[in-house]
Formats: sequence, C-alpha cells, structure tokens
Amino acid sequence: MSTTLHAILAVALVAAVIGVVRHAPRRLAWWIAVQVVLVAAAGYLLAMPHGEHGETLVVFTDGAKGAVPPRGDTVVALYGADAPAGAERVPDLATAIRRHRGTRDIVVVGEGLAARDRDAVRGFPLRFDAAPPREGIVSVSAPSRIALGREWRVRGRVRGAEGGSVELLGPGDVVLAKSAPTTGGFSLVAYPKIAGTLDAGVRLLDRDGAERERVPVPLVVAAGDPLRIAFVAGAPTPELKYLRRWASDAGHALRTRVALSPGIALRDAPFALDAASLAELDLVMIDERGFAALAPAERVALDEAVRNGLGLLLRATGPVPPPVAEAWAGYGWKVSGSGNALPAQLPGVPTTTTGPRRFERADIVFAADDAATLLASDAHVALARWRAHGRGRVGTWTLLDAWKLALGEDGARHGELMASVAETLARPRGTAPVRIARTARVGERITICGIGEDVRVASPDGTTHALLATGDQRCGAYWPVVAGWHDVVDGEKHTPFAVLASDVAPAMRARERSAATRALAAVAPTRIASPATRDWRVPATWAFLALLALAWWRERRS
Amino acid sequence: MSVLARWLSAARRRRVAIALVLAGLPLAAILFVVWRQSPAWLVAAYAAAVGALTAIAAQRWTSLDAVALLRRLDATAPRFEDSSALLLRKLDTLNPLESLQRRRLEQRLLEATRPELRDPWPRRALVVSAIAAVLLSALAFVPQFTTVVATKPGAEPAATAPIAVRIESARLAIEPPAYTGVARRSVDALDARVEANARATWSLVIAGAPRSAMLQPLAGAPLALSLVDGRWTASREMAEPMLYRVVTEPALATEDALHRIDVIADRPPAIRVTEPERTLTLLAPGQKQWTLAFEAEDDYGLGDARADVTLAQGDGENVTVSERSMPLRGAGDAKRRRYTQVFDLAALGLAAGDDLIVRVRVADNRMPKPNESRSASFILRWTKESADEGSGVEGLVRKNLPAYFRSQRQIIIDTEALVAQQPSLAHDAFVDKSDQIGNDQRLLRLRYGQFLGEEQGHGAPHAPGALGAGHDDGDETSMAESEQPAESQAVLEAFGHTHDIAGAATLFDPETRALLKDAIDAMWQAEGELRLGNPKAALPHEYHALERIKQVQQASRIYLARVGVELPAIDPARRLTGDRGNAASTRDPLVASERDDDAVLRDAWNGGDTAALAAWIPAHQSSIPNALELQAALDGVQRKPDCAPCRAALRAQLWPLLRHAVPRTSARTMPDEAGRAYLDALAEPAR
Repeated sequence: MSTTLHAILAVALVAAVIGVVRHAPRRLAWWIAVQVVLVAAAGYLLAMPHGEHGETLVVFTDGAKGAVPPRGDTVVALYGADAPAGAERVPDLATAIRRHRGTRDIVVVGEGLAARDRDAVRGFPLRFDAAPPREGIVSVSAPSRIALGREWRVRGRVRGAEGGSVELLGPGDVVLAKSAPTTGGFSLVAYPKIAGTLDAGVRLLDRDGAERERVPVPLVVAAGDPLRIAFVAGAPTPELKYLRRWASDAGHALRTRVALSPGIALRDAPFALDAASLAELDLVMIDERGFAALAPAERVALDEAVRNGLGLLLRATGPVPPPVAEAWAGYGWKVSGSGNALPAQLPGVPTTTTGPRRFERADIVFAADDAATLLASDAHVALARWRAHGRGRVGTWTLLDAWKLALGEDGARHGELMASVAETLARPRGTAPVRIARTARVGERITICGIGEDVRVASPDGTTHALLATGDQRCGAYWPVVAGWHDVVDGEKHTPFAVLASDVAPAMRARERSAATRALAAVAPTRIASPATRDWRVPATWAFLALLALAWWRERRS
Repeated sequence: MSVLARWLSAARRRRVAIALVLAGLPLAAILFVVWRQSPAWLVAAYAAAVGALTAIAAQRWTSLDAVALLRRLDATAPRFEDSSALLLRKLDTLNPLESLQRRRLEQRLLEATRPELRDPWPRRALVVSAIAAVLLSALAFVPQFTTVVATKPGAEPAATAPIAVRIESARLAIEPPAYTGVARRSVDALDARVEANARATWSLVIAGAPRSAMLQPLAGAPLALSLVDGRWTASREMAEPMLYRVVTEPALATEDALHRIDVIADRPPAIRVTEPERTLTLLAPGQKQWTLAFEAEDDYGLGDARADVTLAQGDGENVTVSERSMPLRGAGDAKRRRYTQVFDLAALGLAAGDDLIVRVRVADNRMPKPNESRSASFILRWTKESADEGSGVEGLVRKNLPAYFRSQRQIIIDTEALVAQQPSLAHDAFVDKSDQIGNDQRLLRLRYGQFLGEEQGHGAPHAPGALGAGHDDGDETSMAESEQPAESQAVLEAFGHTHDIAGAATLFDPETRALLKDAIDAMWQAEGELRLGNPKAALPHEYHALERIKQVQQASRIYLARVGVELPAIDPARRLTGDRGNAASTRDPLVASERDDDAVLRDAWNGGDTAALAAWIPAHQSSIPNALELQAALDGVQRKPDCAPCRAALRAQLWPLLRHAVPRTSARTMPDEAGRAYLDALAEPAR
C-alpha cells in the first residue's frame, strides 16, 4: 500500500471523526468517534499487506539479465543492473534495505555484489543465485611491482576461448609473450627493460586471431637497490667471473678474496672480515675452504654480524671439513654428505649429460627444521635453502656450476638466480612500502596502508587529495575517479599505482564479485539476527481488542 | 486629442523613416555582399536584416512619446504658452485656472496649422551611411573571397564563410628509373611506395591562397613547392625513405599529418647454381669437359653475366695462377635467366695437379652503378695420384712434410761440409758456423715439434740430459713464476695460460708418435752438440733423426689443422729491464656494461630529453629497423608533449631498441619493532 493511499485514508478518517464530533449529539459524539476509529483500525488490520513485514528482498545485480524474479517478493535492481519490469531502482543495497525495513532475507541474483554493497548485507540471511560466469579473461595475477630486469610472470585463466591464444602486451601493443591456453590457464613471462611504470596488458585472441578482450596489467618497475657483497673462496672458481659480471652490471659493489695458496690470495683490495667491514656489507658468500681459512676472530665477527642482519651464503663445493661443519652447525645447519659431485637438473633448463648444459651439485645436505627452499632441482633436491639466524639470514648453496647458466641462450636466468638469492639473504635496508590492497578501479574505494602524516594522492587529472591515515596499519581510504597512474606522495617518497577504468575486464570483475558474494553467502546467518523494525502488528491487535472491549462494555452499560 | 495623436504619429513615422534609411543602406550592402559571395547564406542574412530593421523601427517608434512631443510643441510654438502639458492631464484634476487654460489650448490646437514637430532629415548622416553602403558593396568584388569559386569550376560555390588554407587535392606522380621498366604512375595521395631513385613529383591544389608552401621532411632539407597553373608542385629523386608534412604559410587549417614515402630498394640479382652441386669437384678419369649451370633472378632485369676463371697450376710453392674472365649468355626472360657454360679442359690447359676455380658474377641494370652478385667459387681439382688427396675431412690432408725432411738432409750436408772445412778455419769462425747450423737445427726441431703439440719458445720437458746455457726458452715462464703476483689479472695470465691441446693439433698413432719423438730427441742432441761447436759429435744424431723421419714418412699420413699459432713477436729490447711502463693498470678492468644509447633511449622513454633522441636517430638510421616509425612517433610527441597516446606510440617504438636489463634486486624491508622482537626471540636458545 502506497504512502499516498495511507495519507488519503488517514485524512478521511480524521474528517469522519471531526464530522461525528461536530454533528452528533454531544453526549454520544466521542463514542461514535471511537467506533469510527475502531472500524477503520479493523479494516486496516485486515487489509494490511502481508509482505511488508518479513519480506524477501530480491536484488538484481549486473549480469542478471533474463532472470525471472519470484512472485510476491520485493525486487530491487542495483545501479547499473538490468532490471526486470516492475523492479525498483536503487542506488545501492543499503538504500534498498532502508526503504524496505521489513526485509527478512536477501536473494542476490546475477554476478554478485560490488564491494560497496557487501557491508550492507551483513547480518541478513543471504542466498546467491549466481549468473553463469562470463567468458573472457576471468583472472589475472601478477606482481604489481618488481625490480628491473627480473622475471615478471603473469598468470591467469580464460574461459570460453577454445583454440584462442593469450598475449602479454608491452607498451604500444608490443607482444612480449604469447601462449595458447589449453586448459584455460596461462602463464606468461616478460622481463622489464626499463625502470618506471609500464602499461602492460593481457589480450585474449580468438581462434581467428581477432581480439576478444584486453585487460590492463599495470606494472611498476623499481630501479633496484645496490647491495654490498663480499665473495670469499678458498680457490678460484668460474662462478666468480659471472658473479662479477652480474654484480657490476646490476650496480652492486662486490669485493672478493680468493685464496690461491698459503699466503697468496686474489683480492681486489685489502679487506678483513672484521666487525667494521662486515657492518658495511649486506651479503657475504663464502665456501667451505674459504671458511676454513677464516681466523677465529673473523668467525666471531661474522657470526655477530649475521645476528645483526648481515646475509650469509654458505657454498659447499666439496667435502666439508669437520671443523667447518661444526662451525656451520652454529648457524643452525646440520651438514652431512660426501661432497662428491652429482648431476643435478635445474627446473626449466634443458640439460644434457655432457657439455655446458650439464649441471652438478655437491653431495652435501644442509639440514634444518626451519629452512625455506630457495632453489630446488627437478628431482626436488634442495640446491639452495635459507633460514633466519638472529636478524640476518643464512643461506646454503650446493649447486657447483651456476655459471653455466650464463653461457646458454637464457643467460638472463643466471642473473635472475643471483638476484633472487641476494634479495632473499641480503641485509634488510628498505623502508616499509606503501601497501595498496588490490587492483584499484574507478569508483571503488581502496585502502592505502603504511602511510605517514601529510600524504597526498596525485591523480592523472592533476588533482591531489590528502589521505587521513588511521589505525595501527596507518591506512587511509581513497576513491579514484579517473583511470590512470596515480601517485601516493609521502614527502620525498613516491609510490605510483594504477587505477583501472570501471568497465574494463568485465569477466574478471564478475568473477571477483561472485566469489566475494558466494563467500558472504557461505557465512551468512540462517535467521535475521535483529529485525530491522519492531513488528507492531501484535500490539496493534491488542490495542484494537482493548478498544473494542471498551466500546462493548460502554454499549452494555448504556 | 485626435489632432495631437495625428501629430505624434507623423513625428514617429519620420523618426522611423530616418532610422530605416540610415541602417537600411549598409544592411542592403551587406546583403549584396552575401549574395555575391555565398548565396546559400542569403536567406539567413535577409532574415537577420529584416529582424534588425524591425527592431530598430520599434525602438525608434517608442522612443518618441506624447510628453516629448508636447515639450517639442512648447519649444516650437509660442502660442501654446508652455502649458501644453495640460492637454495630457485628466480633466477632474485641474483647478479652474488650469481648466480655463486647457480650453484655450484646445481651441488653438484646432485652429493651428501643424507646427513642424517631425525630426529633420539628417543629411550628413545620410551621406555617411550611403558612403558606408557603397564601400561595403565593394567587398563583394574582393578577389580573395572569390578563389574558392574559381578553383572549382562547375561546382557549387563553397558555403564556408571564412576560407581556410587546406589541401584540396594531392597528386603524386612517380617516375621510376628507366632501367626498372616500371611504368610511371600517379597516386592521389601523399603517401606512396616508390622504387629507389624514382622521381616523385608532387602536385597539390591548396585552397586559401597561401603565400608559400613546402614539403618539410622530418630529417633533411625542406623542398619548396612552386605555384604553377594553380598547382603547387615540386619534384625530388627518392633515394631514401622520407617522412614529411606539407607546411604552408599561413599554416594549414585542417590537416597536419605526417606523410610517408617508402623506398623499394633494388635487390641485387640472386644466383642459384644447379651444377656442380658442390664447390669442390674432383676430376673424373677421362673427363674432358666441365659444366657449370646456374640460374639468376632479379627484380627489375638482369644485366651482364661473367665467369671468372682462375687456373692454379703447379705444386707446393711453385704455383702459377692465371685468371681470365669470360662473358656468359643466358636463356630466359629479362628477370630470370638460365646460364650453362661448358669448359673445355684441354683448351684451358688443365693438367694433373691443377685447380680450376670458377666464380660467376651477375649484374643487374641499376643506374648509375649496377648491383652485382657473385657466386661461391667452384673448384675442379685434378688430383695427382701421388700428391695430395683428400675428401670429407676438414683439414688439408698431405703426405708427410716433404720440405722439412729435405732440410734435415741439408743440415747433414752442411755439417759434413763444416767438418771437412774444420782444419782450414779459425776456431772462433768454426764455432760460429757450427752455432748457425745449430740454429737451423733448432728451427727445424721447433717446426717439427708442432706436430707433437709442443709450443714454440718452450723448453722441451723431455729433453734428455745435458743441455748448455744456450737454452733460453723457459725464461718467460720462470720469470712469471718468480714474481709475486700483484693483481689477479697478472696471475691469471701467468697461471691461466692456455696450452694448445695436443690432440687437436696432431692425429698420430702411438707408434708414429714415438718415432717422431725419437727424431726430435735426436735433433735436440744434435743441436746441443752443434751449439757447443762440436759438429762431428752431432752427425750421428742428425743421421738418426733423418732415419727416424724417413720412417715416419713411410708410416702414415698426418693431418694439419688449418689454424696456426701466431704469437706476437717478443721485443728483446724490453726483456728483463724491469720497465713496466706499458703494463696494465691495477684497477679492476671490469666496468658495468652501459652503452651511450641506453641513456638516450631511457631519457626519451621517461619523457625527458627528446632532442637527444632526434639527433640519435639519423646517426643510427641504418642499424635500427624501425627508424621511420620511431621518427614519426618522436615527431608526434614533440608536437604534442601532453598527448598520452603519442607517448605510448613512442614507447612502443623504443621498446625493441632497449637492451635487456640485468636483473636487479630490491632491498628487503626492514622488520618493524614487532618483527625484530620476533627474530630476537627466535634466536634465543630454547629454555
């Protein structure tokens, strides 16, 4: 019943009461008025619509086209959704619930709720009538920030593109990588060539090579932080040659000390492993022979430095002498094995039994309960592992000829391996980055965490917005209004992040919404916890009965 | 009152008439100009004029009211005694005196002839208005306005009011070089693909009568267009591709696009030899003729074909080479021909042991300098039965070293002669001569030692027994060993000295190897004796060496690799002087790999200095495959620095030119207080 009708009836009732009071004999006037009110109340109670209280709210969202709303339920269509005839348009779900105070449970039809509507359904029983998933690129996951030259792997899934192919596009649609997803999944690799922001994207082509969909995958390429590395070895090794090349090109400062024979060592400049020089280093790579030649004072200094954050890589290139094994046990590694060279096969590297593609590892096992694997062979033999030791990290390395990677066609893998090792082990020096939880889209609220005071977001249209950071995580909220590269400016620190237009990647958006809505539906209560409004039908009925009884009693008395 | 109303109406009519005449004349002139220049606008202009006149008339009409008229009446007619305003007042508001006066006024009004209450015709203004109208009409005949009509005869005159400079039509006539045989053609566009060195002639019709026009290439000098018969024309021979735009003065209003002339290079002829199948053919027994057959193909037409015939006669060092060149005649059309040449071997004078080497050259008709292709050399070899033979091996196969062995015999002969001369020679001279023979022996030993994988300049480790002070070969090594290495490079050089791999130099069976070793040992002994001035004692060793060498010669063939060791000559003047003037620096020679290009490209990528890139492109035009596209993209960015798609286009062109980056590392984030506490707690020994 509409509000207007209510108003007309109320006016009519008041008019009737006034009429009665004015024209009826004074003695009876009030009683007649009460009777008129009672009649109206009875009629109202009888005619009161059932659905107004305890109703089911059917919410149409994007992709609900063609769905038939159940009869009798209240149907609302959210902003942007295809609404069936007779559905009520609402700007958001919270508004719909406010308008329909008697809502007892909610049925979501279509692709699911956008982030802004998800909070509104908490506390309501929720059923999700999902639309069939859209075709196209349904998910893309890739790091949004990597260091220059590193392997950038973009994984994702496509749906409904049999015989099609997926391309990773660089700036200006340069094809960086291509694959034909047979089971729907794809994994593409590119190597960023220049620091800064990179407007990459993933494109889905159909069987005929025509473009079906394109999803931007923005990437921030960091220039990288130069490290200070020391390489200590008991004998010359080809490893050093390629390590030097990588370190020099990547901007790291590498100091070396390679023993040749007693009293003779190759080194770039005199340096001792004492507390002062170790404090100036980020990573020390040392093999068992180099370790054996360390003076006791140097060992103590090294241990102390590692506890204070220095990274240490223990390279086993042969049998580990018992004193060294004992010393390494102090770093938490139980060392065993003969030290003989065994063949090893690196994942993703085609190997041969002879020649430059044959890899070997030392038969040494570094055992530790709390170690993580850094590099494993195809046979799942750990070639490199690491564990925390104090505030620093100690890694182990048994691959004998990583340098051979630098000789092959995929020479980049050598640098990649070295970079990942150095990055994992080296002394932590970076400040906490600004964190942005998920891919930002126009019109969707995002949180930017880890920010300081007086932080601003510069958007591509030239406007800036101040962020108000709250909470332990120092998070601030931001609502992007234009697509493109934004910049979180925190003093001198700039953190670029990309905002996608609201209409790109519909399949991805649909999948994200339906997954989130499904998750909400899974944890939704089965009964409404507290009704939105008190049901006043019962007290109204009692009041009606009381008045009726009063009227009857008065009638009896007179 | 009616008299007053009549007067008012007359005054108003006059006033409106003046206004209409004053405004109407220029408006009519404007209408005339519009009719002349763009009749399509005439109706609109007419409507506007009528509207304007109506508005003026209305304004003028209402600007004169009764009060103003009566004021003017008072001013012109004294009979109304400055009280005509009474005529407008209501009767009942008048006092008796006023009523009286009013009646008198009404009486006079009826009697009066109409005073001149209308505005006089403003003669001077009318003259100015007429002159303005005439001047405006003259605009209709200004020629600049009529160009559009003139350049498009027969067409409806253009309806644009302001006439912009724009290219009405463009025609590009392409006249390929005559030798190509491609017909001249013309395209109605400013972009084209033309043959190399074709003459391109632009012919543009540019509306809006620009003062000057030219073609401005992105790189290079502009090409001025000259106006001939209403068409702007220019011509140029296109040797290289070009990106250009049409620049006029005043500037083109509409288009400012880049145009592109691509150049189709004239390819050199392609030669495909069908016979013989291999480059080395051995003469079959009884063969009298040798056939060479090949096919040549060219994109525009083949020119001369010649065969260069080289005959190498003789053996060993006595080889005479004679060359001649003979024209070839082919069968087929101009673009594709087959050539077959039969060489008569007897006529050429081919004899046993000779090589006949043939190479064909085919030219095309390119002007001024033809492209010429050469085939590989094809060799017909008449192998001597007893001489070299070889097939299917990489190296050159020879019988055993004839020259060296003759030399050993020569040493024996020399030694015997010296022994015979001994009595007649002074001791010093004798020792000197003996030493010279020893030197010869040493050279022979060293050359021979190559076959065992020995190195020159090194002492033979297997040298038996007593050897005098004359042995200086090992000095270099011993010096390096005795010196304390100061830096890694020197040590690497000293210790990392790569020895030739013996197995790669010779392929001997063990027996031959033993014989050869024996011979070298004997030579060593002989040399030692000779150097000590004792040739008589050397003779048995020399004979022994010769005998062993003979045996080796009969034993098997040896294979000589085609590579040789070419060590730089040692400068004896500098040896052992301790002078380290030219020694390498002790600084680490390893530097980060960075090309100059990197900085230029990176700057351009990051939106920095595009001028550097603009200068860089012409210098690297030949080495970058996408030079023109890059230039176009750069031009787009330079013209519109704020255009995001232009910048993306430039990045797309820059991406392939950027080198792969060496993988960098990002420093780990420092743990916060909680993280540090956690790590410290982990490190504490368990309690």
